[in-house]
Amino acid sequence: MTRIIEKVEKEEARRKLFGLLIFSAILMISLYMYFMSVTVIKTVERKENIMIIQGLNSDNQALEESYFSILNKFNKDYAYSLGFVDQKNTDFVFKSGSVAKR
Amino acid sequence: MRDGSRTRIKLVGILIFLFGLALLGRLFYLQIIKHDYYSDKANAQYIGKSPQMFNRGDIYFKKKDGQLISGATIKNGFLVALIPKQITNPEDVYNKISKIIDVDRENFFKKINKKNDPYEEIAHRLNEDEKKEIEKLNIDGLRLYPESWRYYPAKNLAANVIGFVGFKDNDLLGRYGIEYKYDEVLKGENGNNNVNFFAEILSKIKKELKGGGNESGSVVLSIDPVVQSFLENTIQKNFDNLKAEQAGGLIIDPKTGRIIAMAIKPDFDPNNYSKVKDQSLFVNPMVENIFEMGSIMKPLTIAAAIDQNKITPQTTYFDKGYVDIDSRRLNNFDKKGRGKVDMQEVLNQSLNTGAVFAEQQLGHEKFREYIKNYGFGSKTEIDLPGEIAGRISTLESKRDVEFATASFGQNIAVTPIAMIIALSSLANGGFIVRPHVVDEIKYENGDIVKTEPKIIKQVLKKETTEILSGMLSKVYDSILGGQFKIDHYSVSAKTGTAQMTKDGKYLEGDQNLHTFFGYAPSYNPKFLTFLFLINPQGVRFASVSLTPPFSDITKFLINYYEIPPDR
Repeated sequence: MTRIIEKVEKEEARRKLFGLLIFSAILMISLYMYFMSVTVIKTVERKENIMIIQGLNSDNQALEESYFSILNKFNKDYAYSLGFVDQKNTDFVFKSGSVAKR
Repeated sequence: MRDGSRTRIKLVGILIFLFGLALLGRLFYLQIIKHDYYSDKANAQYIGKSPQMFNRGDIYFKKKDGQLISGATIKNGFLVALIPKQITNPEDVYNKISKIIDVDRENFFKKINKKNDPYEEIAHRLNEDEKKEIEKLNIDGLRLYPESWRYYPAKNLAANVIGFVGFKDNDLLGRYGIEYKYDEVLKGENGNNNVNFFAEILSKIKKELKGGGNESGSVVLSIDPVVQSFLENTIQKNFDNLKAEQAGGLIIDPKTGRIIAMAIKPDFDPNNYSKVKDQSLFVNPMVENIFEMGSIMKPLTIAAAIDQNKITPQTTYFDKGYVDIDSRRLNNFDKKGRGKVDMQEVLNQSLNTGAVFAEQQLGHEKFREYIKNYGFGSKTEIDLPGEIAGRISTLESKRDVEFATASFGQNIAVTPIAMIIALSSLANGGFIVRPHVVDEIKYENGDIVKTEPKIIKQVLKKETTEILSGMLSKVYDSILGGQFKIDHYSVSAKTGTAQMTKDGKYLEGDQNLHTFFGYAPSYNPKFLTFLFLINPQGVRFASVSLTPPFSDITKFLINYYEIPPDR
């Protein structure tokens, strides 16, 4: 009787152990696939982001180029050509002493 | 063992075997079948990028409102390479790609004939559109790889300050200016290596384990692009009109030594530095050349004598138009005497005899001491490369004439930046400050290192500088009959015209150095401007050649910085 009980218990333990192994294998494979997928997706996303950043940088560089060319164009002669007139007899208003008081 | 268990074990075994087989199959596919494809890809990402791809910090200009504008940055694009043995019809390939990009025909066929060569680059710096057009051709043996290069969007603007990146042997390095001075900061520890994502992670882990490394950083200049542009346009116009050999200008905050603009003409475009034939254009004469500065030295001589209570602005002497010392006759610029004149007239009319008188009142020992304290015998420690110290060894002589000539700016030679710092002491209450063009360094890890203004020493009393500012204000108001006087604003200024020297001898004729410095408002200056012209044609004095551009620059700065009137 005792042998029969032991045999049944061993059989039960083996079955549980086997189930655990299968579960662990599936878990490991699933985790591996999940993390690999995430890594690949993130890598692709990163590459796309780098491309977007490079595109934005290019746009920014183009804007800076035009900024510098405009900077050279904006001078007094250009202002005069647009009708700018020098101010004569400038008067300034001033107030002696401090204005703000604690 | 029971049959059920055996079946299950077999099942697991089969699953493992199938999984292994799948991995093996995938490995075979990647390593054998697609070997060339992935090998090319990997090379393009990892090995092929160097030196076509490189990391380097940016250099920025800084506007008055703190906005940063790129002065030097990285531009990304593509290069076209060939695998010559895979090109079956070179003529056809050339015709197709030359419709999209410029390709030198001779060079193309020379490269394509190198059949044993696995890789030949035929075009660089393609943009995204050109890349797509080339890809559409779908030509076997033609490859497109990403590349990046140093790019200077402002072109010539402040080229002598920024410098450029160029090859030295096989390495891309900063060669001049800030690019050279801050090369270690800009390139960081990684230098030119560019690695893929996974390799980057591994390299970062390695770096952490090793205890970190030097982060690369971006350099923010104190140069304001708006002011720089105005200064460059103004001195370029003057340089062209007067057919000068060289022109230069610098604008500095005299209280902090912060340089707002620094320009040299002629200059160069750092994007095309290899096309520049005259390499002396790369040199920055503001820090790397010394000159005998002439009469802008006189205010410093008079300031020293006033500082020692040896003279006052009202002190008079008799001007014969010359003074004989050590059997040499030193004349005024026009060889005319004015009779009894005071120190204000010495500055107004730029009398050499008056400067000699002031030096004689001060004494040689004290004069030498002040010259050294002004910083003329040493470097200013500006954050630009190649600075040299001035030559003042003539003051070690016992001959009186050496001191006499030095009192009006001859026989001692200094860099423009050293002269500017000495003159700044007249504007800032008597202090010698350290000049700088870098405002801050921004590191990749977020650290920011700011340049703090540094006072080296006090060389003049505050009262002395106030007296000199008043005297120089009268000088500016009287230049060329007072036609450049600015209403409501006091401006302190002085001109200088010096004979140029070559091989230790003074050159005759129009071989002159014209200099001009001025600051405004006189008693609380926001900026000091220094201008020079080498050998301008058809004009004898700096008062004629440099007062108009100085006046334009001063009016611009008053408006730009919204400086309130002071009189």
